[in-house]
Amino acid sequence: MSAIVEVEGLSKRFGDVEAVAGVSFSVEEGEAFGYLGPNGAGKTTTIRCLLGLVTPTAGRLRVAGRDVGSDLQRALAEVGYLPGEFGLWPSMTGEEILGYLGALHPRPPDRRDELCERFDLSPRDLGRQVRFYSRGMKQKVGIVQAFQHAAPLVVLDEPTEGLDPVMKDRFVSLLAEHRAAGGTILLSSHILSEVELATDRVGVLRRGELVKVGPTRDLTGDRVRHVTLTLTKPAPGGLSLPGVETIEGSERQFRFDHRGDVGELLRALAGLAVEDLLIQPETLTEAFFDIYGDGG
Amino acid sequence: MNGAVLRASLGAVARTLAIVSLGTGAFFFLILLSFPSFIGEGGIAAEFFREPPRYIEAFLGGSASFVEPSGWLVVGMTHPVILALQTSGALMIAAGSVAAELERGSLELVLTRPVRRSSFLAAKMTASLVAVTVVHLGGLAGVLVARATIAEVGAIDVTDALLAILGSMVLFWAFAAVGTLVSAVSSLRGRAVGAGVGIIVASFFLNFLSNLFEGLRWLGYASPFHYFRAGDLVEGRGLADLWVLVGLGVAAAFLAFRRFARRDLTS
Repeated sequence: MSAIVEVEGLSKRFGDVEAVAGVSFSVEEGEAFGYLGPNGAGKTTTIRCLLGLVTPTAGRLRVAGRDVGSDLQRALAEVGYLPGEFGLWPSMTGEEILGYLGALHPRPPDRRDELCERFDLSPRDLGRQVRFYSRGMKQKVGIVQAFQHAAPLVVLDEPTEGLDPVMKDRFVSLLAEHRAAGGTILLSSHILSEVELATDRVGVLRRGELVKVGPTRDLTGDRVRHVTLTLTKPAPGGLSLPGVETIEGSERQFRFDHRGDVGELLRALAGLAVEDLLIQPETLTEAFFDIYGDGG
Repeated sequence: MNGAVLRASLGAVARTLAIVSLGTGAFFFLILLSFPSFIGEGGIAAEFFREPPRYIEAFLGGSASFVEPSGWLVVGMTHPVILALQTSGALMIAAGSVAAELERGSLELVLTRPVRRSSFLAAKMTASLVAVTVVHLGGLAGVLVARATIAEVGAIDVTDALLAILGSMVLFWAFAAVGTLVSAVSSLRGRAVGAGVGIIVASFFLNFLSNLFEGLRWLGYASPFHYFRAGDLVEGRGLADLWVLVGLGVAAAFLAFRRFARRDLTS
């Protein structure tokens, strides 16, 4: 595998504001990479630099082996993109827009019909001017235009905004299919459940700086587990377990957080009269707020 | 130049453009229809236009034989309604070429495909020139219909009419290029339209002042209207001055391309 996205030392200043400061990461071919951060952290600026909409103050960017600064057109030929906030031409129909955007990409829009069907965009819907579309309908058109060319790399910025739960579910399936076909995903979002569900690795951005990059499961896995323990009889001499933090309860029922080796915890529990045990991993949401504290 | 962007740009304004073009033709026809009443035998304004007051002559962009049918056409070319229609033709695509797309959030969808910025802007600029041309062709059609159907203006020479319309077209091509430049540096369509209209109105006013006051004659050189004198064109003069307008358009286009190529596209 080789990197399809390479970001090295990316910085971008807008006047006195440093939107992105020395960010480096890469995304391997076939990988789903989540780019996490609260609003204003610099996610969209990074993506805009990557796609040539914004010129970096410093750094080197490559997409599909092409330098974004000097070979942008060939880099973009490998990309399907769904912006976070986009608008469509109000007097055009959905069909005309998909046709127009399809004509601007060198890859044929082979998946258009199938995707329209999957996202319930009927020929009647597509025949209406988009000024009559709801937010969700526009988002569906956005998704179709991003995936219709089956480009190897799909860059998605807050992709499920405005979608109902059914469509979100179909969208997650679409991401899985894209990966199964060897495609790569760069997913920028502040909706953590979506990133948790759809990515293998995440980069967490805070105030323009990348504060963490690692496997999505590691971001939560090496952190806290929430444990609920019920005993049939009280532990002799009180409950004493390794790695326990913030314990609540007494006698037979306990809730506590555990950090560290879970095997060690289970071995210690073997000597107790356990009636029930529930261990829940910390969610990405919790990890996110733990990293950000005040919200970044 | 990107053909898809050109087609989409023209398609988006096709109905409006057709209406403005028809309106321009209709208004030219009405102007010429009024010729017998104002200037013809027993016309109420023949004396007035034989030697018009200086401020009227300044407003009309210079002297001409306004009591002749072709001179009356010159009066029509500086009528505020005609100027407004032509301004709308020049700015309907140009002013929104970048600013409207950026404000709407559609530019990001286009320029993250392998479409060069220069190719995008060239398509927008070409669409603007086509819009100006269509509006003027509507005007020309109105003149030709009037010439064929109103006996009193049948004497208008077709070549004279063509030259006057051509001069106006070159003027508004230049304004379309200026409008594209304004749009290339703006992020809001309303601001770009306002600035474009402001530039055209200010240019007209500058030319009016320079025609009115001898001491301000030099100001006229700063106004594109100075280089389009319909009264001269219908008499076969002033064609060379149109090259200044061509130069202005080329310079504005060059600056628009240069600015757009380097600009960070953030809404």
